[in-house]
Amino acid sequence: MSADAFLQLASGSLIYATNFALVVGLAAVGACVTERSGVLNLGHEGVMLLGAAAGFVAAYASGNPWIGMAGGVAAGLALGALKAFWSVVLKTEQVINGLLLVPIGFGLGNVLYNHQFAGAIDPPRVPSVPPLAIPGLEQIPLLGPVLFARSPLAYAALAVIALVAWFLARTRAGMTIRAAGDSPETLDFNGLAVDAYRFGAVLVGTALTGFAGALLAVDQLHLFHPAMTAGRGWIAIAIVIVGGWSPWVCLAAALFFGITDMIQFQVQIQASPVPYELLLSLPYLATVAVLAWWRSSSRAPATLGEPYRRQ
Amino acid sequence: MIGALVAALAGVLAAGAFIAALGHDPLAAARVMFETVFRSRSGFIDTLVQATPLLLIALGYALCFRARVWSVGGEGQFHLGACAAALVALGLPAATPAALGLPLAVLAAAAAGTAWAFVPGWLRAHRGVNEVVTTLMLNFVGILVMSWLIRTVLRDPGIPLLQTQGFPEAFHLPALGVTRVHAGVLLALLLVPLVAYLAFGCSFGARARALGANPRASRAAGIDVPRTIIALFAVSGALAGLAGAAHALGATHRLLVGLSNDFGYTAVLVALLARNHPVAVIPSAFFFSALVVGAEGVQVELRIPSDFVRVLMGIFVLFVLAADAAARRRAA
Repeated sequence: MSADAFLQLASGSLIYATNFALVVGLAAVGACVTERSGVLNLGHEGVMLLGAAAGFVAAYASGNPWIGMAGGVAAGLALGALKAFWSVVLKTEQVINGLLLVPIGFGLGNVLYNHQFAGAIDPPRVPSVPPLAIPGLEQIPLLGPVLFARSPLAYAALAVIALVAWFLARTRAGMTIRAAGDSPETLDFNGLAVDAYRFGAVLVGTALTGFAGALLAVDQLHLFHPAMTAGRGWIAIAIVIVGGWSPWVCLAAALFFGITDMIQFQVQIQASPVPYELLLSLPYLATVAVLAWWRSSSRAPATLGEPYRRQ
Repeated sequence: MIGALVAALAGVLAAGAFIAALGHDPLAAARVMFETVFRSRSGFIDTLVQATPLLLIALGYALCFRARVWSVGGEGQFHLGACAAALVALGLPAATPAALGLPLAVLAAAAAGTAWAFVPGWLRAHRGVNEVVTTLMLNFVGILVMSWLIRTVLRDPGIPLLQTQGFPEAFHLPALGVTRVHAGVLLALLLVPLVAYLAFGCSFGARARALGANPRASRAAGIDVPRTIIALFAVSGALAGLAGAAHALGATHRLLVGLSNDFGYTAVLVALLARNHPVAVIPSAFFFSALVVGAEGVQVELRIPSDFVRVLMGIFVLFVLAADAAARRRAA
């Protein structure tokens, strides 16, 4: 293999891995905010799929990928309001009311898509978004194409991740959200509404996950498929645990899973003797293995999954 | 009781509003659903056939959920069970008497389901690993295990790629009458009292209940918490494995891609709608199976994508949760 061909393969692989990491990272950082407030949302897989369907339909109808992203966020907010109402207001079991978002999100997503494109024989596609190359920097071998010639939507995703990480760590509202998860009594004692912050934190989580779904459909695959999330929403929840509920560590963990997925994809297209089912299993097995090996439950927010009731 | 009725009514109204929002007549959809399930012979039979794995898997879930053990790995365990049953059915000589072959295939399926559940069970019990995530990850892997078996080990050159050859007659679960309904439904119904005994009639159920009420207190009371958790996973895994065997040996008589109609996922909702009561799981499994089969009729007749039924099922359980919350508030 010539040096040029190798560089091209390597940067292509890294783009694949970072695509995966951006989608899973967005959802994981969103889930971080939700969980730090004390609410456990196990519905991210369903939110992501509905985000993908809504994002794709909005982008296709408007011809504007940014409106697609807005559609994904709106879908995320809608499911988030449902989740938050049942968790924070009605105070029902959070494991269950989150799991319910999965059939609801899948059902709504598929109905929305099939309703819009009933009878289409070829799956409709949206055009890819032209990359925004940063002159000079994009010429850097290997890293140039990976970091400095991506679609504006990918940059936006990274910016959203950075913004939310900063918000959670450095702003007063972010600190209050963290206190709502670790010590809701203190918050209540100081006259702050625990449930309002928790409600908002659920919405942040599902908005980011809806954005992630739209990014996957519009920017990365340019189409919608009912199985396209393929566990990414679940991996995001695992990543929050592995990342110790810290957004930047979560993003690093998402990159690790992106590389795992990229390796299985590369081996698969090299027509290797390894059964492709085993390769496809790798990200899932890696998730179980990493969770088994990690010992981080001690860092979980103190009241994660428990509704707040004044004593 | 009034709460449950209000929840059911609210669920039906919300479902109707949803169908109306799609631009269809909710009453027409309800009529088509009812006619598909109760007015057509094949629809009713299909409802019973699909209710069987739902019932078996949901029984295991109900047992786990009572202890607030959230094993949702039925889909993977179902596939492993079906694989084990198929390996026995296609591996043993075709002349094997049914009296020997069928029990072997069924037991192998239960063992495979248990083994698949053991990994997340052990990880939850001894390392505190979130069982929702691990069981779901293993669901994806379990489905892939089956497609690998179909493509390689059990591949028959004379058969289209996506299925194995049919099992020998000796490995067919007996049919009830001349229908596609098979003995698996009897097996599932017979297991209901056993699961009810496990939940209410013995010390194991008491330990599981204590675990669900308060894990820390149950540890202090001398309950072996890890062992209880692993036992719950094992029982639910065995039941889901049985579901895989029952469906493959009873309904399809072969392994094929798409063997499960999301049974392991729908069964979560079946158990929740039944409020995790083993007896209530029977009508709940029939109801959700009827919804799924009815939705296929609606898709054919009214051109509403059948996936709308998943939203309906989710809505129903949401309202059950809301009714429970209201009841708690009244009691407080």
